[in-house]
Formats: sequence, C-alpha cells, structure tokens
Amino acid sequence: MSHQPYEAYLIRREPLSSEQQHELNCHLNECETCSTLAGALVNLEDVFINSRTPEPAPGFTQRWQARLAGYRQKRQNRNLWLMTIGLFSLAGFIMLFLFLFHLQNLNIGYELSLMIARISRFVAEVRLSVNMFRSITSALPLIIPIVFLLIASALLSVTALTLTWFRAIIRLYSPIQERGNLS
Amino acid sequence: MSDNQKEWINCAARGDEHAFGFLIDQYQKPVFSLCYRMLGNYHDAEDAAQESFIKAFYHIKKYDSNRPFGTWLLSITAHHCIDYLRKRRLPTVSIEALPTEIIPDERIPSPELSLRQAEWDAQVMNLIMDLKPLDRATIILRYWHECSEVEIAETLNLSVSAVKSRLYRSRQTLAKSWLEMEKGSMPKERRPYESPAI
Repeated sequence: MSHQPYEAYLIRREPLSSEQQHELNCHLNECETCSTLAGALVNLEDVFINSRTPEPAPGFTQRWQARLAGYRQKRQNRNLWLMTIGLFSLAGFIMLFLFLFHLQNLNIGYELSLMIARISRFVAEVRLSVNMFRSITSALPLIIPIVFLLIASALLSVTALTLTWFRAIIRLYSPIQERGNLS
Repeated sequence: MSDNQKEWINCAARGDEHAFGFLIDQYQKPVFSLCYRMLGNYHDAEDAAQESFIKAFYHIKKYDSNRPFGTWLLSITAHHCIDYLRKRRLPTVSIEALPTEIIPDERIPSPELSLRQAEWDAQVMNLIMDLKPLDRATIILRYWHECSEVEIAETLNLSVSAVKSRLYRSRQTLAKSWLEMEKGSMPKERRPYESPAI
C-alpha cells in the first residue's frame, strides 16, 4: 500500500482542504503504518509542550559582567601581543628592505670585504686596548709604591664619604630654609 | 520594540555594558533555553549563553533596528551552538546524566508529577539529540520558541523552503525515533515459566 501523499500530509502539518482531509481519514482507517505515524506525531508534540523550559541559575547577568571583564582583559593582552609582533615584523621588514636595497645598489664583494676589514680592525683595537691596560696594571706597583696607593685610595674614600655626608645635611636643611622664607 | 529597549540598545552600542545588562535580564531565558536544548547539558548551556551575549555585545553596532532584537539574538545563539557542536563532534548526550541536571521546579509539588516531568524532559532531550545541529535548531525554534518558518529562516540564514524541508525531515526522524523508543519500552512477552505477577 502506498503511504503517499498521506505521510507527507501528516508530517507537514499544513492545513488541508476538506477533500484531502477526508482522503486522509479514510487512509488512516485502513493503514496501520500511517495511523501509528499520526499517533507518534501527536505524542511527540504533546511531549514537547509538556517539557519544562530550562532557566539559568540566578545571577546570570552578574556572571556575564564578570566574564566580560575577563574577556576584555584577554583581548587587551592579545592586542598588545599582536601590536608588539606587528612592530617587530615591520622593523624587520624595513631592515630587510634596506639591506636588499643596499645590496642592489652597491658591489656585494666590495661591501663584504669592507665589513670584514672593519670588524677585524675593531677586534684588533680592542685587543690592543686590553693588552695596554694589562701592562699598565702590572707595571703600576713597580712605578708607584703600594703604600702610596693604599693611602691614596683611603683618602679618596674619606673624601667621597664626606661629600655624601655634606649632601645629606644640605638636603635635610633645605625644607626648613624654604619654610622660613615662606613665613 | 519598547522605547526602553531601543534606548538600551543605543547605549549598549556606545559600549555601555550596564544597559546591555537590562537586555540580558530580558532575554536570558529564551537564549539559555535554546542553548540547553541544543547542547543537552546545563554547564555547556550556561557557557554558550554567556558567550552568545558577549558576541552580541561586541556586534551590536551591526544590529538592524528594523529586525526584532530577539530574533537577532537567537540567530547569534543558534549559530554559536551549531559551531560549538561541530567543533565538539559529539552527537549524543548521556541519558544517565540527564536526570541529575534537570533544574528543580518549585511549581510542581508532587514527586510523581516531578518524576514524570523529568522523564518527559529526558525523552525530549534524547529525541532531539539524534538530529543534526541545524535540524535541531529548526525544531527547537519551531516548537519551543514558536517561531514561524519565515522567522526560522531569518534566524538561521536559510531559505523558507530549506526550513520547510528541514522541518519535514526532522519530524520524520523524530517520529521514527519515537516509535522505536515506544517499541523498546513495551513489556516483553511473558515466558511460559514466569509468574504473571512478574
């Protein structure tokens, strides 16, 4: 037995003409499958209507406000990170661009050898300075007696302490002087 | 739409979260209900409802005042739930977990009625969880939010004919599941050696 169009009538739940309704009723009296389907659909709607509407726990809006604050904080942090990464990327891009532009305009071999020469010169100067400092520090005790060095360092320390003490006294005194001037 | 609501929407569009709070007070129940029916548990529903309101707050400038605010909000919620379900890819919910998550209703004093109600709720959840997310949203909006086919189409960004075919398919699936469930709950035939009392 064909269940169409009766099954469609039942499932669509659209208004039917009197003729269609009559045909459907006749079919339902004869067909067990369709009458079972009709019963199931009615029961389904009944269950839907009788089921409770779930509600959120009290304080939903307050919880939302707290969540929004957290969300804003997270968003701010993310934006900060994105900005930092963006700035670094931009700087890197500019540097790369300048480097490539520079390479295009000049002789690569010459520039490379010049850079190596500059670096080696800088290293040589640093090494020379270090050697010079070492030789001076090793020769100093021979030129100047050690007792003189100790006395000189002690005098310097006393001078520094005295200056600090004077500065502290001046700072302590200055507000009193200002108050006196105001009155 | 009331004048108050218009004012709240305008204030919220300027970033006033307290004004948006009034809108939440007004719409939290339908939004939560949609989330609960879509996701099948209280915790996820709360999360999804909160997230939907945050999305709505940040996109309120895009809201078209010629459209009902409720429909716009439900649209955001439905899409959020559908996305969530697609990411989660867990089509069913544990039936055993459902009774513990049902919210106690003080309006029903009788324990028998309460139990029956809980059974109904569990049945409903069990039935609609078999549907695909978009079909589920269509059925929920049709039956519990009493939306017309045109409103459902607007809410879910579908054509009216697509809504009709989805409703048709969903009803068919639901009726089939219902019949299977009825078959499953029918008492088995008594074995010859069993007492009739059993």
